[in-house]
Amino acid sequence: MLKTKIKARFVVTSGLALTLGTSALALGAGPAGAASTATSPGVTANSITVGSISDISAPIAGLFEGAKVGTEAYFAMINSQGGVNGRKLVINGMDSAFSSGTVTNEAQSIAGNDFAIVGGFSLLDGAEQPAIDAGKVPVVTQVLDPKLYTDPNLYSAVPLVTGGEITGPFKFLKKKYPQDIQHVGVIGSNAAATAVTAEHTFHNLTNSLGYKWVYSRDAGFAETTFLPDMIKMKNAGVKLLFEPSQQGAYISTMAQENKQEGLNALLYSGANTYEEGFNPGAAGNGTLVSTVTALYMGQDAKVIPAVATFDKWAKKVDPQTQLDLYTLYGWINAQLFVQALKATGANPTRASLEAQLDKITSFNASGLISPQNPAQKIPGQCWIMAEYNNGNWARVAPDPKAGFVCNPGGFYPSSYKGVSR
Amino acid sequence: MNEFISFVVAGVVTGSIYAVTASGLVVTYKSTGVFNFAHGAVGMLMAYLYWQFWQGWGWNPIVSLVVVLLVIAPISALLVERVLMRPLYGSALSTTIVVTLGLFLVLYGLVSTVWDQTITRNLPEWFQGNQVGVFGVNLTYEQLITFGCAVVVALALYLLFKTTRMGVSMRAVVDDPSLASLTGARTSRIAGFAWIVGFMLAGLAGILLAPGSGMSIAILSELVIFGYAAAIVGRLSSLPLTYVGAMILGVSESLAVGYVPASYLNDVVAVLPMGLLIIALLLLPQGKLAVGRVVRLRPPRPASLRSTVIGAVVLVVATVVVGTFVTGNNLYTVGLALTIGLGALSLVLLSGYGGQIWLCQFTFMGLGAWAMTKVGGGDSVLGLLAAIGLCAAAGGILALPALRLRALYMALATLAFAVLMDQLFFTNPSILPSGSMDVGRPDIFGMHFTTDRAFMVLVAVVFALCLIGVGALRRGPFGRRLVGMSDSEAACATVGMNITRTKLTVFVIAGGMAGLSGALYGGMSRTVSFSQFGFVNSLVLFVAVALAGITILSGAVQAGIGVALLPLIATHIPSVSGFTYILFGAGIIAVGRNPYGLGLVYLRLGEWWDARRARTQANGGVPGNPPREVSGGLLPPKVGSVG
Repeated sequence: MLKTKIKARFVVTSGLALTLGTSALALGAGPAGAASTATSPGVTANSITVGSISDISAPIAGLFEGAKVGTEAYFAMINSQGGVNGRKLVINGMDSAFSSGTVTNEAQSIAGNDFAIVGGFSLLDGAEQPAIDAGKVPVVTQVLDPKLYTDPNLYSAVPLVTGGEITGPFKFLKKKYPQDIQHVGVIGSNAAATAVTAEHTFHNLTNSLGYKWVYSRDAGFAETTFLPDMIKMKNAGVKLLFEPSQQGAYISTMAQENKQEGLNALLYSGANTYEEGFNPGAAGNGTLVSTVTALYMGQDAKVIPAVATFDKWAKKVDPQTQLDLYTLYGWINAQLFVQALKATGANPTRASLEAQLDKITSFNASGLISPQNPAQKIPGQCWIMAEYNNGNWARVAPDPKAGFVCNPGGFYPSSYKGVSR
Repeated sequence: MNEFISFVVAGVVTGSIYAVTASGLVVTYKSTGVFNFAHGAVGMLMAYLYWQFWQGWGWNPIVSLVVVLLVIAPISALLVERVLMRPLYGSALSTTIVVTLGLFLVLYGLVSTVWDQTITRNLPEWFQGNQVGVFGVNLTYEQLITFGCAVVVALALYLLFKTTRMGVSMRAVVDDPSLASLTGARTSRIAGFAWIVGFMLAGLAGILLAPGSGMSIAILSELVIFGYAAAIVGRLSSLPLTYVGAMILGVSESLAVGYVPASYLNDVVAVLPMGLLIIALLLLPQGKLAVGRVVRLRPPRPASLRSTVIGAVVLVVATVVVGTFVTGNNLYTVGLALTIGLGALSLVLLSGYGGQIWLCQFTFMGLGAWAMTKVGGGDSVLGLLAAIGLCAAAGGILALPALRLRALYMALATLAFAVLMDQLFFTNPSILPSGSMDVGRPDIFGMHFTTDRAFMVLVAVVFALCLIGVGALRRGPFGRRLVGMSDSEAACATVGMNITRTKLTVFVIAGGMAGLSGALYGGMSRTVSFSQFGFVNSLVLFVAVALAGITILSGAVQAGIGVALLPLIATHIPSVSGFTYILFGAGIIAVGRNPYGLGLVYLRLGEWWDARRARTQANGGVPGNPPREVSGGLLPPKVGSVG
């Protein structure tokens, strides 16, 4: 018995010693973890490779695959024209696997091997930040995590500002429906903290313009009916039903139940509603959406050539693709990147690319979006209003045929002046 | 008053959906004893088939409905019952949970594979635009049909159980299966019928829900969770009470919208389904102390100190070796596997040894990661201690219902806790303003772990020490008490064991261990998002541990590796992402049907090796002579033992 105990102690002691010893060896052997010091990784005589990170396989298969498709489509078009300064553009498209750690490591890999991060769209994009800051990697994409909005290496074709939003559409609605804005009902989303935060921004913005919210609730992801909300809003006299952040299928149900319960409020929604998932039938007639993009699902193809080009190349890269906001994001950010890359000349470096991006203070992606200021992170103040009728979307007054409405314009908070480069 | 009635009517519509969903669950459970976690996934599959026939292939909607509900649902139910479920009757709860969760994954993967989820699908309403006023509320014909379905299902089930021979037999089987069998009741036929009814009701609920859900597989497969509350109100046996529960839930949600002040509304509505579930669980009468069952498998022997230490050292050395060859994302994946493995180890202790089913491990890990960021600057040992302390305390609180609930109800309570935390904590902007948090890495004894490689080795050392610790616990008096409690609470109470203290202790230890794993998981990831701690991840982890062997220490290691590696398959080969769910689910169903998972395979291999060695020694070192009394394949029944 004693022998067994001694033996056991020996095993434990030697085991722990070996464990700690090997651990110490490993700790000593660990690399510094610094980013590559190459001046222009990803650049060869014939090609420029950029990385992109999107949520593709999870949490829902194919969730933001459109962002990758959009970037690939634009690069395919540029390559068909001979590339940029004689170099073909190659995209190293990565899947986040919906894991922040994976995103961190993919960003590190891009920092070490690729020229920049272009396009892509991930709910976990905040995890890219340490690698892009350490490697001073230019990032030309749309981001969701507010802490990235102000990152000096980030350039978004459509800049976003924490607690900020354009005010033009709200001023327009105020002028057109002065009574209705005194009776606003809002059904937001509680699916993510960022959605709730965005709703607070809308609340502050509309309050500052004299809107009065008489009802608001954040709905869960699995709610399939809003009948009690409609009853409540009807009794509260809601005239304008605002939906800032839900997806098309949800808003279809809201549109149907809005009519069903005789609420008949004017349904005004965010750009997410402009998608194929919004299909409420006749009940959705009159639904308004304000957006800073052209009607890229084809409606503007005749008046904005870039819409037809976008559609053509996206389908060429992926014939099964359904055009959505993320596909457009991929395309317009790829275009912003290429515009800056062309200006860097024959020997592009990350620093020279960022220097060129710093100069782009007006960018409209050939008319696909209203003029934006990616360099100083100032969102464009021009917009359009689209209306849904019988399955179709069309621009409505005061929109010009092809351009964007800039009056009324403005940004909330008005004190925001962007960043200086 | 009119307004009040309007809200009640609106709530009844929602309640009707819950009622149809929950009644299917109850019919299956009360007739077979299997709580079908795949119930929602069955509804999802039927909704997609309905969409395919009607919208995809242009069939008549009524014909499509008939084919799906009256042909495909019954056939698939019989198939599932015959192949998967029949061997499970009378099995341990963890086994039935694992197999039905495996079925969930198979169906989820099947739908993801067959119907490309990047394509938008809509299921139109049958009578678009038609509606009728009911007590001041305009209801569409579809909503009336939903209500009508709930009523018809209620009446049909009432008549079934009260007036038909099959229904009476079903009740008899529930009351006493062996007695019913002696009186000529064909239990297998009855169980098959119960599964048919369950599948048909799941399909009906899926089809009724589909138009409003945008054909979202997440909503369709997970919405059934909200039906759990109704099913528990009915104590998983009473259909009338289940309907009452469904209506209470639907109406209370509606009344909350109507009357709760705006500042509390969001929280109250979010809490209601799971809050009702927890209240219903707490109001359940105290469960009888579980007695033992006859088992046919001998449980694996607890690992010896020597083998545990050797295994732990091998783990660390293997980590160091692997760490020298892999970089970047692969290195991170190895580290992640270790942190998840540590979380899985807490399940081995709690569920494998203690028999307590916990379905919220990732929630605890999220709490641990959060505590790590909030205490001691976000990168200190204090943060680690805070993670352990907070989660140990939370584990102790969660143990309170466990002191009086039966295992299945306890499992549902932990699932409700996970869903509640998803809705109230991890998505709360005042807790995680940007939806993510940066988690630091502690310095220990002046050593820094800034590189992934160094931190990974630290995690391996911590994991190894925990493996040794849990192994020691298992071999000691506390471990014997745990296993005894798992085998038969009644027997343990009879010999004077303090079950309350044992349960409380194991919950606290497991909670603390999960918190530690969460802090290390966050450190390995550096940035974590709320979505990484969703309840679905907890279900996947439980299933993975059960598959690998929930009663053996190495099961935790394998589960960690499996959960960390699985997403990589879909990442590297996107075209097979759906197949990974199918394969994983099928593996679970195949292996998880025995209570020891892959652990049984190792057990058999060990026995084969012992037998071979015994033969060799008996023949003077010459192998080949036939065995004497050593079992080769299946072990003999160990009647009288419990497990």
